[in-house]
Amino acid sequence: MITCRHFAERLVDYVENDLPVEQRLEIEDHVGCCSSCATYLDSYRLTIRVSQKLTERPLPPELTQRLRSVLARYCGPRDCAPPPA
Amino acid sequence: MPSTTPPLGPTPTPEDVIAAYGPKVYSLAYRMLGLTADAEDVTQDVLMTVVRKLHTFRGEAALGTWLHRVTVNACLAFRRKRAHRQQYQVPDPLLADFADTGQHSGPVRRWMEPPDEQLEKQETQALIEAAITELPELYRDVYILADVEGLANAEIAEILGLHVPGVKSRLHRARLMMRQALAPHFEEIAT
Repeated sequence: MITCRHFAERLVDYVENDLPVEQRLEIEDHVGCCSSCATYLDSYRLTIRVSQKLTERPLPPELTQRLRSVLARYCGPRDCAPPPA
Repeated sequence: MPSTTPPLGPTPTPEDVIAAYGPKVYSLAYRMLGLTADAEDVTQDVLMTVVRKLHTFRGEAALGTWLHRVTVNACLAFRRKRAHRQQYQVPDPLLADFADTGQHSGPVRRWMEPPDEQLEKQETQALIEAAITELPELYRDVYILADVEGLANAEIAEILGLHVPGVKSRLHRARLMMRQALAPHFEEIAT
């Protein structure tokens, strides 16, 4: 029987389905009879989920302005396509 | 980034390049560096590299992966220039959660299942961003690339010059640290 700490050490492989069947079953048996680990597993998964929901940060207006100016200086205001070979 | 990098037309304007790649590059740089000014400089450098190399890319996937690599490399170079170097010795996050006997050291509280609308709120996003910024750099990079950007462990290993088991080990620690940081905000209040 694995301990709660052993369970926690294998979480990364467990949630990514990277454990051999035998170890996966050990985890599932443990979670089935340890409510603390079941809760811990839920919160580990939620940690991943909330980070996946992060949205892109908008560009600060002054950076947008700076980028416009730098890119236009390099490739002209209308076209960043490379010159024909 | 790879799945959402939009294709550009044959004659992209500076405005097209900024709209297509600016927020992606800036978001990754800001999260890795934690400082607006540094992230802005990296974004400018990376977008200049993009316009110089744009003609060499045929597929969106190749461009997305390359964009990650270029941005990560620019951030790592920026960090090397900083006078202050972070110390990487951090305590094992499991030590706080588990006793020597291998059992939980205290009660494990259930988390609220936050609806998507709550996760999209500015306060919640700021909370998660702050927790990421607090991660030691060693773990932060892997965490951002895996759980925010959605890259596979093998891709992260290639970008950061690590082996896959090293990526997984850092990712696991980062997730445990993130879990500890977010727990006070998401745990259900005991009744």
